[in-house]
Amino acid sequence: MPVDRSRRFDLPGIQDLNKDQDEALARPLDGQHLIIGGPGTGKSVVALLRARRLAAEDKNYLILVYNHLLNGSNRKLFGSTQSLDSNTWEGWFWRMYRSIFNRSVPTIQQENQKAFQPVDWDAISEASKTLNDNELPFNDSHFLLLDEGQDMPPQFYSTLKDWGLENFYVVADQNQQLQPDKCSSRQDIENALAVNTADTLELKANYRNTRPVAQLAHHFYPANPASPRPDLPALAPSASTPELWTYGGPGQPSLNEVIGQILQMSDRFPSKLIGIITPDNVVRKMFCDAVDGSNPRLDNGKPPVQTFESGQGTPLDFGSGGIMIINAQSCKGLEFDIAILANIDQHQPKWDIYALKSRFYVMVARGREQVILLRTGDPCKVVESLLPIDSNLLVRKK
Amino acid sequence: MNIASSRERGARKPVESWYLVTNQLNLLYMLAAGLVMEPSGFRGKHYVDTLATIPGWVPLFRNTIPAKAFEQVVSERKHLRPCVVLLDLSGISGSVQVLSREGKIRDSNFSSVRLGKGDIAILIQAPLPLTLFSRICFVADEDRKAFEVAAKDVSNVDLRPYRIEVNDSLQCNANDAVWPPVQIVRSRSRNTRQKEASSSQGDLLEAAEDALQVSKPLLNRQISAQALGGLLAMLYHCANRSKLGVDIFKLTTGSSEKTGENFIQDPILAELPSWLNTGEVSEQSNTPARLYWGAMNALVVAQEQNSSQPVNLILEYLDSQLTQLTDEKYKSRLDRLITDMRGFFGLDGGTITELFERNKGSLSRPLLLFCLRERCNDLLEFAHPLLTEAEHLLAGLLFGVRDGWMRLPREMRNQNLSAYVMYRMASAAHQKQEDGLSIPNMARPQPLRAFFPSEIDTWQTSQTLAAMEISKHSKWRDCIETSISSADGSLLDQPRSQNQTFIFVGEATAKLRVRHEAFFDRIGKWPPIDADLEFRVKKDLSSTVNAEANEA
Repeated sequence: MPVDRSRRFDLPGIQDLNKDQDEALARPLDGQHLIIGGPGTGKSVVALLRARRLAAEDKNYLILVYNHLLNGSNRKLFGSTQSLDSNTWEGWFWRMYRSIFNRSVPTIQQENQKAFQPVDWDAISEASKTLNDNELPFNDSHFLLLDEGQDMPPQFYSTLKDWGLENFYVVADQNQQLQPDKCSSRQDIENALAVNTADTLELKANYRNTRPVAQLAHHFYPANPASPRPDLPALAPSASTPELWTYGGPGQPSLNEVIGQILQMSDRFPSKLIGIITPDNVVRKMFCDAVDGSNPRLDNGKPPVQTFESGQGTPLDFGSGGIMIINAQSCKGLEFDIAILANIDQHQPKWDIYALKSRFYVMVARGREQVILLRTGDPCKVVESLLPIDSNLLVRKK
Repeated sequence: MNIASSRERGARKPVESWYLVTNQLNLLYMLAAGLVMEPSGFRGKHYVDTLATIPGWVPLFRNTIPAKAFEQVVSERKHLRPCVVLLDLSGISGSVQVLSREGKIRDSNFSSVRLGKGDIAILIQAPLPLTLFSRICFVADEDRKAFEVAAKDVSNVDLRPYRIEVNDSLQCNANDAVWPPVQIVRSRSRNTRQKEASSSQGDLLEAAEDALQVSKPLLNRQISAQALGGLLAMLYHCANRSKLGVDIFKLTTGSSEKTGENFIQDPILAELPSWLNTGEVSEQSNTPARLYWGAMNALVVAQEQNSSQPVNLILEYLDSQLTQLTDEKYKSRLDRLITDMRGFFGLDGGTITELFERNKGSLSRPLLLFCLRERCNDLLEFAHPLLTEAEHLLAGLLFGVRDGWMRLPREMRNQNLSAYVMYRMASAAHQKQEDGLSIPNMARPQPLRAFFPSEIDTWQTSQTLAAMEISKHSKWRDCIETSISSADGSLLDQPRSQNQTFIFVGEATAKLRVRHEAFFDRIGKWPPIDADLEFRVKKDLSSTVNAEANEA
């Protein structure tokens, strides 16, 4: 009989939710709410549980996320008993704008026609101000939930307000901004939604990661005071210390051997999703090829292997265990049972330690139960300086 | 709780209700835990309520509730809602205290307790099982909704057994008594004196319990109530996999007809009765048994203190034993096991088959499974050709003790099991505290497998019909076979096939039969069969099997 690889997305136990999360869940359905918290503090879970409540009460709600992968992941987390109304924020905004104004979102023309054309928020603001009350697309019966709200620009929030939207529930983490110059700070969101700083709820306890993974994530914490540093998680059923493996050199395992071990790990835990997070497309393809060509001894046959590249139409399946190979740029907000950070010395930008540390912080926090770092035999001094020396945080394997 | 029928009560008296005042979030926590507990039982998530007034004692109001109690229970956070649980304490016996408006406490015995005009509540020793709940009341419909919505957000609260109402008169009729009491004259330090006073009564209760049961449920006084609850639940669910599992569950719940424990061949599992009775293994136990139960004791401590990663704690224990072992054979085996346990989540673990081949026996494999699977239901789903039933049961014990009753999801809490586990957890806590409080007994649940003996030639008609019904309802085609024979005993010709039907020439009779091996295999798998079907089948079989046996 084939092994069941279905991933379980269980609701939390009552003991798993702390008092702040209880409060976040108990916030009234209407009004404006901002929930701030670091990776693994359960922001997305809180947002999804709220979406479940809205769905159960037949409310007109929508959950917006920053990218397609997170959208797919959230749909799985939501469970199969009811469908989740969710979308990526940009795609949704573009369609809304067209349906309201019957034209495309205005952009700022660049000299180079092929260059990225940024959104002309001033023009959007002007256009929005021309709407009469009866033309507003939203009213107080609409509910919008925003996950990773720090990745949406401040003007996005003010535009939604201009369009008549009153009920917001935003979860955000300033330490996870993708492009700080285009993202919203905590203050930006508070201002846009008219939320008092005192009413912003901070989630501090790490809910997702096991203690050893959370400890490693803490090591890379980039220390932005706007988002509180998550407290370490309490007791978890099982946990192992993150590992650092070096491969490819003399006396070290080959890439093929490492891949064989990853496949055996997947075989031991058939319903767990192992995310291999690569620094770029070259490494991603190299790992895809290596997984494809590896055939170690397995009890349950080869696990499903998926990869994602920008512009890919096929959605990824977060509902089954197996291996998912993605680039670091796509990993934010996602959750894997085990995260493997491939070729860690090739991550950028080396000249900006804060940004590099943030990237490691985000990548490490993707692993719910275990994190394994891989490097080739040619370590980068900058990356090495970021890694913990303490073997209680990271075991260096030979 | 809708389990009154399974409660073994004495003569029926008019039911008197006692009021527990709390908030919706503490109540949810207690519903998951199966117990009304003192604040320390909430492991850091207790919101101030009446239970915090005199830690260790549950204040239960009578007739009316102080208005200040309603204020107290919502004082900590804005989103808290007051609620009142009505408890039916019939069947309870033991010492209580009566609390006056002035905060004075006087001793009483529950059976003779009388509240005077100046008395506002009784204080009864925590914990109490939720089987005493008769109703849950909210003062506003909005509060009830908030409670029910919050219950749906979590995996381990099932509201179906409870009557939930809105009753604003509870708050409207609140009295102006001082609450919490300004001055408590005596508190828990009295326990020791009370223990002495109630010891003779405790003996009588134990004697009565002995008379009621085939044998006495086993109880390790070191084990926490939660760990006991988790252990019982895992034994109950694991029991569907084998006759051994059923026998072990019966032994643990005191319903075994077997007089000794000789039916347990596995030397580690054979120590379960000793461990449950004393917290220790017997003198004749072997090294693997001492290591397994030593690891279990480390887990019991972890469960009690919520202090460390369970796997790490077991590894620490095994490490400490490794240095003390003198037998090279055991030493090298243990060394290999520790290495494999440490590597389970690393890159050099190998496959499960490789791990099981390297580590044989009922010490190693349960401990490996403890690392390899995360949740209790993961273990219940797990099967491997190299794994024996004893090894699976031993793994189940580890998982149950680690998670306790608290962490078990709704699908692992059927009503009869829940009621029994709550009773056992509360009873165990009171025995441990030696406070003499006696909780009404609950009927012992029986795993489904217990209704279908392994000796298939002893099956009665009702059992065969029940197995058929389960197989049909669950769409287990492999559990039923049809034999077709000619009516006159002659050989049948080959049938011809037409529209998915076999057509025989001549008169034939068809007979359905249960394929027992496949049926046992199916009922041993997780998830269990439909809960309503299981309840109905068990009820029918309970009443018919004995009757049929008598007729035979």
